[in-house]
Amino acid sequence: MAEAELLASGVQTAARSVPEQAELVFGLPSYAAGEQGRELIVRLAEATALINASAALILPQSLEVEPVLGLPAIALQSTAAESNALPWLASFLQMRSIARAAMSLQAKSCVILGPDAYHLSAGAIAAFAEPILKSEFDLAMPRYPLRPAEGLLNRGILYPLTRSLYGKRVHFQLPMDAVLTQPMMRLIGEPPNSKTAGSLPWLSVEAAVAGLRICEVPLAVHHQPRTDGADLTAVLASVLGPLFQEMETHASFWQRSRGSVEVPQRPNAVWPETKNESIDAQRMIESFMLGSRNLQEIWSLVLPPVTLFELKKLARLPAEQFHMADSLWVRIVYDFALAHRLRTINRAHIFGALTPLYLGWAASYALEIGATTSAVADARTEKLAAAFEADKSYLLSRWRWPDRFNP
Amino acid sequence: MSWDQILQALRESTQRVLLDITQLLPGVLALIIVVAIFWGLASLCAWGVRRIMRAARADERINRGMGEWASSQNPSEVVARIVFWVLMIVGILFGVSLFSEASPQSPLAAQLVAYVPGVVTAVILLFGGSVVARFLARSVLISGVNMNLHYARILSLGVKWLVLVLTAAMVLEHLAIGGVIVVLAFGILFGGIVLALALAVGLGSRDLVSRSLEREVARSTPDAIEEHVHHF
Repeated sequence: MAEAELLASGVQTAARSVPEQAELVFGLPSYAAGEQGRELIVRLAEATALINASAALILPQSLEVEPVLGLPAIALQSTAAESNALPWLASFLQMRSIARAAMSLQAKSCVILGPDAYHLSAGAIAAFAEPILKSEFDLAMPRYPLRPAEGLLNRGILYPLTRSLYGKRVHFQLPMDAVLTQPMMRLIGEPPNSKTAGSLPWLSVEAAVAGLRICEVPLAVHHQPRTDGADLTAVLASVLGPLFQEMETHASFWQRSRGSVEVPQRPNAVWPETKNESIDAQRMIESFMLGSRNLQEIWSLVLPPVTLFELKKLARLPAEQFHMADSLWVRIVYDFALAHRLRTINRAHIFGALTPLYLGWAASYALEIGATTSAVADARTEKLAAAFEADKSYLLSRWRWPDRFNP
Repeated sequence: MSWDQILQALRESTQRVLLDITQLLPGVLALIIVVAIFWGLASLCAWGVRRIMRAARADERINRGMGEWASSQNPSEVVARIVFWVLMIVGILFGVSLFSEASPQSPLAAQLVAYVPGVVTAVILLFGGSVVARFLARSVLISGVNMNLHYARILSLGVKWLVLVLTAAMVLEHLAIGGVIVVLAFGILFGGIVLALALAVGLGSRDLVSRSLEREVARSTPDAIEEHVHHF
């Protein structure tokens, strides 16, 4: 079956020995040949030996696929959406193709690893896959050791918003690594259609909505997506656009969901404390001020008068006292999600109008955490997430009655 | 010329005008009736389309299928409006054609019929121009602000008025108002703005522009302030 089904699912087979069935599949969307690539393959072979399972590799199409160290390999054919995506988004988009290929191989589990996974030991890779191989969970999400000034988009919007909506405290919403079981592969590996083509795989959201079991596994790796030179507005649009779209799709689910629960950690993450370098927030504040002077007319189409008044007060503060309250930021995010749904302004403009506000929040966060440790920053993120949960009723009211409820 | 002759001339001209108006009346009546019928038909069709699309849950399906539906209105509302206005335009054109046929001898009717296509085009141009002007102004303003340009608002206003003036010139040309004067005035105005800007930048604001450019270059150099922030 293997060759025919794989070709049908857009996967090219390697010249040699594609197994009829692999218990475990390693998907490496960002794999690059070379010393680091070989190092990673060696680790995977060692991890496979530790796990004692039959395994196969799924690699990008651009590489000459050769079975390495006894691991049979197949090549992924990029879809049009993956080829046309921003370079740093392609890896996320390929998760869907990898899940499809893994399903064709009838794999029981699929381990997807990002570009810097060669830093991981074989033991760490095996530990990452373990909760899934033991059938304890359907999705293993990584928990990375972030420094305070890293992953600001995740800290400020992705984590708190998804936690308040879907009720699961999964700390990284767009990870480059994940372990999936068959039900999870089926969820994200649906044949491409107008809805899924080019859309980011929100793994924990899909799993939460489908009622699958999620766990977090500490993964001591430091991925830095290659967003250098990418316009911040484009980054926001490419990440938040699909997330807001997901909100519309699953509106009936999150409107019923209340509060949030921790997801089990296997094992508990204990990272060495990393201290932050002091951040100069001046330019971010300037960007916010410039937006405040010029974009009031556009913001007034999205934000209610109370929020606009608070923003005006904020713009009058001197730089050293600049502080955006959590409640204000929460409502801004909720109102922009609503504007995206109602198409209050053109969607091409929504994220451009949000950019100065996001920079304002980032500046406020940077000034607040200063040169602190990652533990302090994580606690601050949790506090913000709690504010998102506390004000969820505001989103519900505005989502259900956008015309009647406009404070 | 005697007083009787003057009265005779006045009587004859009044009779001619009244005759012209009488000849126009059936056409005007036909125009009003046809437009009214098409208005009713358009309203009925729009209502039907809206009901059918809502019954078929077309809004949800289109929204699901097209993640980037760009209008703030529901798809069913947009389709219903398109149906309404297409039927209304057809009705007006049909009415005008009836008006022309019902009053074949009237030169006024012929002129009116010849003028209608220009008016329709002008209305469409005016609507399209104002939509494009607003969209471009917002795009320029948002992009300018996000590029930290302090003159983003002026740039945005410039783009908006440029498009509006261009639209106004095109509309006046289609309405055959002003003729060559509009084209000339637009050319002079447009050329004048460009020349004024060139002179302002080249002479008056040379130092200001160079200082601004130097500031921008200094900002983008690698040695500039490093924020140590990673958004992703």
